[in-house]
Amino acid sequence: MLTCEGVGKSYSTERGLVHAVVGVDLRVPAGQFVAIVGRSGSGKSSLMAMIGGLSRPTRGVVRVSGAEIWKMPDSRLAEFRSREMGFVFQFPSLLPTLRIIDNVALPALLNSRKEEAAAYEKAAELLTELELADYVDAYPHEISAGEQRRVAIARALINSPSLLIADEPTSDLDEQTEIEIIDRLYRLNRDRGVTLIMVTHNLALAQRADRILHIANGGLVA
Amino acid sequence: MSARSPGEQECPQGMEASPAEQSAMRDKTGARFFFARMAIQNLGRRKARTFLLLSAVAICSGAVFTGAVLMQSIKNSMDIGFARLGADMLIVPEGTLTNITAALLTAEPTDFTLEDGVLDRLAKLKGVGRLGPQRIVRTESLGSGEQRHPTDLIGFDPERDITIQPWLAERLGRAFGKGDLIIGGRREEPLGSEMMLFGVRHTVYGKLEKTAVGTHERGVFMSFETFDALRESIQRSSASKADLGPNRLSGVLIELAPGATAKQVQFAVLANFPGVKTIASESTLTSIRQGLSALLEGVLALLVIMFVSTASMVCVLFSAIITERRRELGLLMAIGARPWQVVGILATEAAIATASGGLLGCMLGVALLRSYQHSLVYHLANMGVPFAWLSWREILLIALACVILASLIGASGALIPAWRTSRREPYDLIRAEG
Repeated sequence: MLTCEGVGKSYSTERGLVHAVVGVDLRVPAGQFVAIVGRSGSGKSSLMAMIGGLSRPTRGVVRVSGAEIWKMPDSRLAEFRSREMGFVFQFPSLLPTLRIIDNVALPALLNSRKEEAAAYEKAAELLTELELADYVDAYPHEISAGEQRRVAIARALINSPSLLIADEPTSDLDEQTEIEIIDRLYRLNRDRGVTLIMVTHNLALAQRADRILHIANGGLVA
Repeated sequence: MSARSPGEQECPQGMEASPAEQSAMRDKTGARFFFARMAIQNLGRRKARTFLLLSAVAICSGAVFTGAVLMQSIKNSMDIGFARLGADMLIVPEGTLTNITAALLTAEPTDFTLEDGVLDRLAKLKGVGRLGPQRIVRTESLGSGEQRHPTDLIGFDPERDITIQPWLAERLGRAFGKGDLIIGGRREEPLGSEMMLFGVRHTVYGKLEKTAVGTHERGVFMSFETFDALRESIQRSSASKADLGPNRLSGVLIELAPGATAKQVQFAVLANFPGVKTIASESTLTSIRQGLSALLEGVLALLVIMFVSTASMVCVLFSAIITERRRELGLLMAIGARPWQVVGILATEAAIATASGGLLGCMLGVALLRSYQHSLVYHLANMGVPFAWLSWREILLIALACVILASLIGASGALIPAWRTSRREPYDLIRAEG
């Protein structure tokens, strides 16, 4: 499902070259739940961004579903991201001017404009499934942070991706909501067979994953 | 039985649609305007900023709209006014007797003629603007058995005319054509009446104002085509020995090009066309016309500068807006927006904002024009100075052009910052790095 070969990322800064990620080799089979843990600044988010097609690696190869994603032109990569991947970010990532249902339908509208009706039907189904049916016409500021995160999960699933990437999805939530969100993600992985890669610094939450990878100083630690 | 709206869908019996499903049904029709709605909502989110943008564009568009309408109206008024003052110069064959009047409106009947090839050569001379060729003959009668009294018949080219049609006091509501006559202000034939010339029926198409120029006031004007059809009869009835064939001209009226002086053109004509005589009008009138034309061009340049500065302002403003919304745009790209979609969303937003500003500006402009109409134009009319307002259709066209231009300026102003953003990596934007 996902393969990384010698993936690395370096940044030029005023103080010189910074190696955020160094030579990561990784293989994740389809349907697996992988947790990547590490301290702040260890390079876990940078690695996620490269896996998710959001940040180009300075070296190495990333393959998702057999496709070498960084060889694709920008437009094709955007389409691939939309079709094959779903993202849940560590910040409230809903567009504030759109209603909940618009936010959820947005990835489908961006990539399959001819099927707006189907996009909204699917969005409505997902919101019902995530117990948010009463908030379809609400705006993001009208719902709680936990509910916003559930909306982000619904949005990540709108195009039925094979890979779900969650970058510290519960970082700003209370403990109870944190458990609830992780439960949701766990169930999605188990029930739908979606490959789930989650970055977290919370070891307790990571215990639910099939596999835990530790990252330090930009490299995976055995 | 309950009423059902056309958009509403029927649920299978015993099943009720959830609120989410009901909302999805409603959104089936609205989704196609999703991106426009998104742009409008984004504008609505920052009310103060949108208000400032709209106001700036409205002021600029309003000024441009009002300026364009007034400028065009002034130009039309000037065109009529100056055309009525006559040509800047008249060229006639040497030996022609000329009756010098304040206004050069027509050539005088003469036995001498010029070759019409002179027109092409004159047009190439530096300083020569428009040319109005004429063929003129004085007949003893109009060949219809009425009382014999001399009448000047003048043939002209309606497409090139510069001194006859501007003086039309009244005319038929159709185009001037073959068989149509325009009569001087002192003639008594009514508009639309039939007038027999050498046994051929003609129509009085138009009547001129009184001009105090004899030939102009009492003459009968017709197209070269009509004149040529009557040529043989005219020459039989006239004492003139002039050759009035299709390739001959009695005189050419000249309007000088902007910046040219009568002296320069006179020297050039006399140097290049032996056997001709030039008569120049009062140089003051020429200078005034040229000066005002230059002034109007200056105003036009100012309007162009205003629009360019608005485009720059929109560009700077949207650079700031995009910087503020980097994370949102990065997110859009992360969830599948292609680079051109990001550019499209931002350009649409800018176009909607500036088009609204443009529309608002035009509405303010109309109010301003109304106040002009009630003050300055009313005052001018009382002084007997005609002010040729544009028609409502023309004003609407200018307003439409202003709104379209404003929206194009908005879209193009947002284009560069939007394009630069769309080239960046989504992760950089999400982390909101500079």
